[in-house]
Amino acid sequence: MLIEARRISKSYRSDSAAVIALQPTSLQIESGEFVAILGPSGSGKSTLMNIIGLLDRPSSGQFLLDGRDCAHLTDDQAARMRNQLIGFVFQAYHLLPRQTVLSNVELPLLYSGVTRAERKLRATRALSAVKLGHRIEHLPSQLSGGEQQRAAIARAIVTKPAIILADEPTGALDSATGWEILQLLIALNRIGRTIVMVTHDVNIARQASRIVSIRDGNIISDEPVVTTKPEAVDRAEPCDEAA
Amino acid sequence: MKPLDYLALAWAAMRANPIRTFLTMLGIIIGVGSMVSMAAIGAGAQAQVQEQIRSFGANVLMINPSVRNQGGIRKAGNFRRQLTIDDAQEIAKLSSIRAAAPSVAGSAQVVYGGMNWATTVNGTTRDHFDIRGWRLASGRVFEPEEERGAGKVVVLGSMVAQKLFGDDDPLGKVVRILNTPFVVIGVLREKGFAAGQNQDDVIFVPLLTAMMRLIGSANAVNRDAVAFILASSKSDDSMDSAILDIDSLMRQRHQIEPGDENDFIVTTAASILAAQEASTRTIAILLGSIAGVSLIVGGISIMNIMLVSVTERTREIGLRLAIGARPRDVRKQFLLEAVVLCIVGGMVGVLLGGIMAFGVAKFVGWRVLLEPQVAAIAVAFAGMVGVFFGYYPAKQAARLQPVIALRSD
Repeated sequence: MLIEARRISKSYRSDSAAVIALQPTSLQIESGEFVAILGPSGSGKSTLMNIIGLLDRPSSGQFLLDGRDCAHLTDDQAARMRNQLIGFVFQAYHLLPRQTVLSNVELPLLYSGVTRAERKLRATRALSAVKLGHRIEHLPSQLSGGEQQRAAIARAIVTKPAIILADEPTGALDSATGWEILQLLIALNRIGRTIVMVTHDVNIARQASRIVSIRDGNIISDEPVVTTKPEAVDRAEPCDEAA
Repeated sequence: MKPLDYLALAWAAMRANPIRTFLTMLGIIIGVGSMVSMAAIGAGAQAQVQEQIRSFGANVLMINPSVRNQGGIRKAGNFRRQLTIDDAQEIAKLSSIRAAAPSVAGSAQVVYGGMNWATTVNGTTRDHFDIRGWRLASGRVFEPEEERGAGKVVVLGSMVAQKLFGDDDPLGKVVRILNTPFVVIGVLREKGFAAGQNQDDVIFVPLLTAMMRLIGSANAVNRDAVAFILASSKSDDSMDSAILDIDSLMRQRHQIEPGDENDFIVTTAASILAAQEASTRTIAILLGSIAGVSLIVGGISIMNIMLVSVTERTREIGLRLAIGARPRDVRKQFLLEAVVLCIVGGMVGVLLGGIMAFGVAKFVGWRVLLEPQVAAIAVAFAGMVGVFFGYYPAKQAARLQPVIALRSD
């Protein structure tokens, strides 16, 4: 089991009372799945996502990533696991504005001790894989939203992680561009990446192979997507990723 | 991450906002600048003192009259007790003293043929040259008869000889000093500069000649008054006893009551050193406190800007943490940014300090000496300021939680 949550919950202490973001929840995700976590804002889906991404820790319960109990990870160990195992894609891209697309994509490799030449090589490859090979020396502000998100995906895949966590990856994009990004994720899933995508849009969620619906901190349904859309697969561009 | 990667990050951050970077560094620049100029002025003053001591002579004593103070109030000018030729003769008889030469000094125009030169005239005895260890390049010094008879003979400093005679031999030639003809009997060897003055720009005549024909005595009333007495001790070891002997002799001759101040000053190489050190120390303390205060203020402004920067770049920090930066990587990044800021500021400061020191040399006339190791120490010190004041903001940055950091807009 790649991702396993056993009755994890999360509550925050606010001034007056404890706010429960996530009720005790159990979830298992196998390697190679494409899971959409679907829910309205405030439903707890981002909290679940942050725990999966080791950006946050559950208040109770047990969380295992790649078979490893994450309760006692030090900050450094968590950082290393994030670096090696997980690639993040955010709604707001989170590209560093003053650095070129290439150095943005190189960033995760900077923290895994890869040499300068190797970094450049791998980042260039990842950028070609997302069809951005021609814009590597541009600044993020010189790119369209779709291109920025593709750069962010290149950054997520440059370390060849097992899991890609996408938090509303199409949220800031128009539907056509969002669709392209989604196809990119599907293609990545087809070459073996496990993808966990958070979204509030049921149409987006349907592109995944499994939908976990969440509301008020509870999982209300967890089922595979039955209606596959063949044309979606056809339109997916072959993703010749760095691997 | 390799050190070079951190450096590249720090450099990129500095270049992102050049004006802010410059203003942030200003305190460090000023601090290091005053540190460097202080060191340069201090080293220059020290070199100058050493040179003065060398030219003054280790066992030379100079006795000058001084104005007496009583309870902090200067007594009237005519109360000043003059030194006399007799004083010098008595000093010369002291057991610790080898020789003593009474002297007067003034300025005069020296003319030879169509050439003329304004220089310092020294009226003294032949012992003067012996005391100062000053050898002749050619000719001779005054004979006793010439000293007693106020002979019209002159010994030229090498610069005056050069100015008036060029390559000709001055010996036996007649020069006119204040329209009185003098025979050149000797030319001194070159002695070089001391205290910014060319010591070779001088001529010597017998004491009585100077007092009677050229300058007059050092005092309108007392015709025996001399300007100063130059003496030398028998050896370096007898300097202390020489000072004490002169002191008690002069107090006795000038009838100074016990408890009253001396009306003369004995100057030695050691006392010059002490006086110079005191004035150098004052400057050093002044510049040192400017340097210290600006370095602290500079450090605080760096800390302030780094804290602002951490707040501004919260999302960047969150992103870095999310993609695998360890807290210590973030800490190192911000710490190194502060250190690089300080070191670059320090290097600009060294430049500024050098310019300031040479400005002082040019316009105030002080000697300055900028040593490379001082510059290196100053830059290293600036780097330490960066570590000290950059640590807290860097720690704050590393402490951020990625979830919260990424959420901030």
